[in-house]
Amino acid sequence: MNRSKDNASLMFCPQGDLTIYTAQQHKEQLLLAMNNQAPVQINLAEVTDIDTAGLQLLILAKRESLRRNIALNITGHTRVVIDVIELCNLSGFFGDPVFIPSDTSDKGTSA
Amino acid sequence: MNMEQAFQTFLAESTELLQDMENKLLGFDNCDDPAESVNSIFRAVHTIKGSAGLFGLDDIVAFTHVVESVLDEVRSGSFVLDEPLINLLLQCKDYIGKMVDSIDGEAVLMAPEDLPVQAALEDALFAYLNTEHSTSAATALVGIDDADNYQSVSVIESDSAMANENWHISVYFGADVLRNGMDPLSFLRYLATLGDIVHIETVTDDLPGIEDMDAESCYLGYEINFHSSASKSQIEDVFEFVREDCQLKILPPYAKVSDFIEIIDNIQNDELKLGEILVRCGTLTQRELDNLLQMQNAVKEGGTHRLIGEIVVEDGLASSEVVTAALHRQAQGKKAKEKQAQTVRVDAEKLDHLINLIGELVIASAGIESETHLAGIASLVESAQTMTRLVEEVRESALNLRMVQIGETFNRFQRVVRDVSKELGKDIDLQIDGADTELDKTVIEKISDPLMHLVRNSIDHGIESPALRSQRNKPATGNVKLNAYHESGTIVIEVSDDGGGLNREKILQKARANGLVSAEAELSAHDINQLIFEAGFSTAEAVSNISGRGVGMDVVRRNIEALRGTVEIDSEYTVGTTIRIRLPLTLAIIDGFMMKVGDAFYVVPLDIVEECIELNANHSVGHDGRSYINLRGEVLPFIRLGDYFCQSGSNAKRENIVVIKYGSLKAGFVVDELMGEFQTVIKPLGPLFERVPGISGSTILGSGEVALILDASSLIHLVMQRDGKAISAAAQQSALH
Repeated sequence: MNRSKDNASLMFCPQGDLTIYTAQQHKEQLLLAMNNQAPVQINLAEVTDIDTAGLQLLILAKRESLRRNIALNITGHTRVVIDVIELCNLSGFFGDPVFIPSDTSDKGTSA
Repeated sequence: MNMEQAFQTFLAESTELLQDMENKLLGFDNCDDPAESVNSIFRAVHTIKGSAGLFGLDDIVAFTHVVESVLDEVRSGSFVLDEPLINLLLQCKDYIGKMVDSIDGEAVLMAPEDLPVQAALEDALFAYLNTEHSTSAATALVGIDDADNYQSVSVIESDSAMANENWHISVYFGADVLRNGMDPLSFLRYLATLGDIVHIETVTDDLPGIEDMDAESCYLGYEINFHSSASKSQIEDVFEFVREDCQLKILPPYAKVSDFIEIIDNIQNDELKLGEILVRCGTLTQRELDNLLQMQNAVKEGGTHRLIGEIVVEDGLASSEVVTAALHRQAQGKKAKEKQAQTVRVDAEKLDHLINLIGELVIASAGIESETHLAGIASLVESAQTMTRLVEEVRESALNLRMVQIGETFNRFQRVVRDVSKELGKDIDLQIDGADTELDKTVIEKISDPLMHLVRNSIDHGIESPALRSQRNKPATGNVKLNAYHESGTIVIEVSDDGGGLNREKILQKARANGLVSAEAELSAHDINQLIFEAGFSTAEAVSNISGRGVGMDVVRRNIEALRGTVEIDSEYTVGTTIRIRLPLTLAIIDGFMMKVGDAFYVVPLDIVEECIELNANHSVGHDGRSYINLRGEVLPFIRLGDYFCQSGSNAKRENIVVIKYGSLKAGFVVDELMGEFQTVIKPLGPLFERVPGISGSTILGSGEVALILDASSLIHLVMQRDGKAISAAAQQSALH
């Protein structure tokens, strides 16, 4: 799943909770990563929880990448992330290939 | 007007509206003003929906709404009301009728097997709604204006509703929601437990650029298409904790145009974009959105133009005053629109009782009159006469109460013809004439089954298959005609078709095979035709589920004879068939003409009496066995009632002939004395005398004596048979002029 097609791409790998409590600091890291005009890779594999604030950051990153014309790959979706993205019907917006974890507890609401 | 009354009004009104809808649908192909027809159909559905809404009959509202949406599209010209759609709408009409019939208390209790029907109908209707393409906004606006024009519904809802059966929730969270410890996602998850989130759109337009964005503020909004049976307050409660801190708008299913305009206005956003979001959510269709934007512009330009409906809708629930007012207005609008005569619904039983009483009154007053004549007191005679005149008028109007136009019965056959002809793959038009001919209600009720049979016969046996028709150089569309008219005191109902006609050869063959007719018997064309009324007679090779079992026509004949009527048939092979039913106007009281032979009284209906002449010596040629006279050049067969009823010693000095005309036949009855006009209350004969030919009933005279009512049709036929075919032919010939 790790498409390391470009070594120069910057990795943003939030760990633990991607929530309101950590949003401010994650945003700063994201800003740093985006400001380099180089492809950005966000790996969410280590994300244990995500809320609206975290989702907003991902949306922000995606929108910013489109605006600045930077390649953005979001990978390593965990179950919690997938649930949130599907709940908000945003998979189309992100357009990233999503690897569906094997424990298909099928909690995803209809899209 | 209390709710119970209002509810009864609703039931009665629904039935009428649905009937009207069916008539309009069936007559759509031939109507002068298709637009008005569509409007009228739309109004029918719309009114039912509105009224059902007032009584909280949500199932009816939901279903009629879909029908209405389709009709609205027709009205605005999105597609035409073609054959398949008419068929679909007819089925929907039936289903709505079924729903109304199964209202039990405050809910519609449909049988489980009906639900798939509903689902199928809805699917078919949605297919129309989804394949629509956007039309010019101008016509759509006209449609909406139309809705405003008729007052009858404007109180309930004056702007058109959207075809969306789901809730629409529009929620925009305030910036501080996250900081206050609330997560919008958890509200969405909770919402999902109340129903089904059909579609959700995350609106991210408020999200600022990356530098300006505060990671702890919330910038998101959601437009949600939500399917749920939850109430509005339940849905509202989902967002209870953020009520202060968000923009929340919940639109019920079938929300109004104005509500959507409000959403679009309230949310600072690109109007077009939000509109598109709503379309993506499936809340609005593209065309609805187009209409809506037009409306919005119209509202803006019109300044303070507000729709009345909005106020009611915003109040949420209509109070009982509004209900009353709404029904009142509905009633008013209807009066103006359809010029409907003011009517009172009366229990048929009460009416029958009244007629019975009046029958007794007529007899009693006849008794009084004859007594006063005997008493010879001038003043008493005068008052008795006044009373008799009044009784006569009362009788007249009482009988009129029961007179119903036959049109309604005829119109029911539109549907039968349509359905049956489709089943058989034939193209058949039903033509109705004389729909305003009036007939006693009891007669109409009893004639409707035999008529049904005859019409089905015409469709199945009469009208040929399209292939055969073209072979015979006939127009592809078959024609079945129902006609009613009055003729000499009877009503004539004709069922005719331009189909194959009777194949007399075949009938005769079959009749000989069945042993109905002996092999050597010579039968006239008329007699052969009449054979089809014999029990167990059918020439159809195949028994279909419509007819062909041979039990029909004799049942028809017996039913009609039970009404003191006759049935005859005219038919020409490959050209067509006309079946003519002749019925007495009423079953209860008639204007009779009384005659006396010896000391027995006889009555015939006054309307069939043509003239009375003296049977003088010149005429008295009947004694040598020939019972007919020359009446101004016509052959008039006659019968001596005294002889017929085996009365002895009635050698009056002068005899009179009463000339009777029944249908095309004329005959004379020779009697001793003419008593004149007499109001006759028909009393049925006991079972013992029911089958006596020549008598159809009895009546009681004022003096208490019994008079027999003659059955003119059977007597005339008797005369004809007796005198043989030569005279009957001659009489028929002369009667043709």
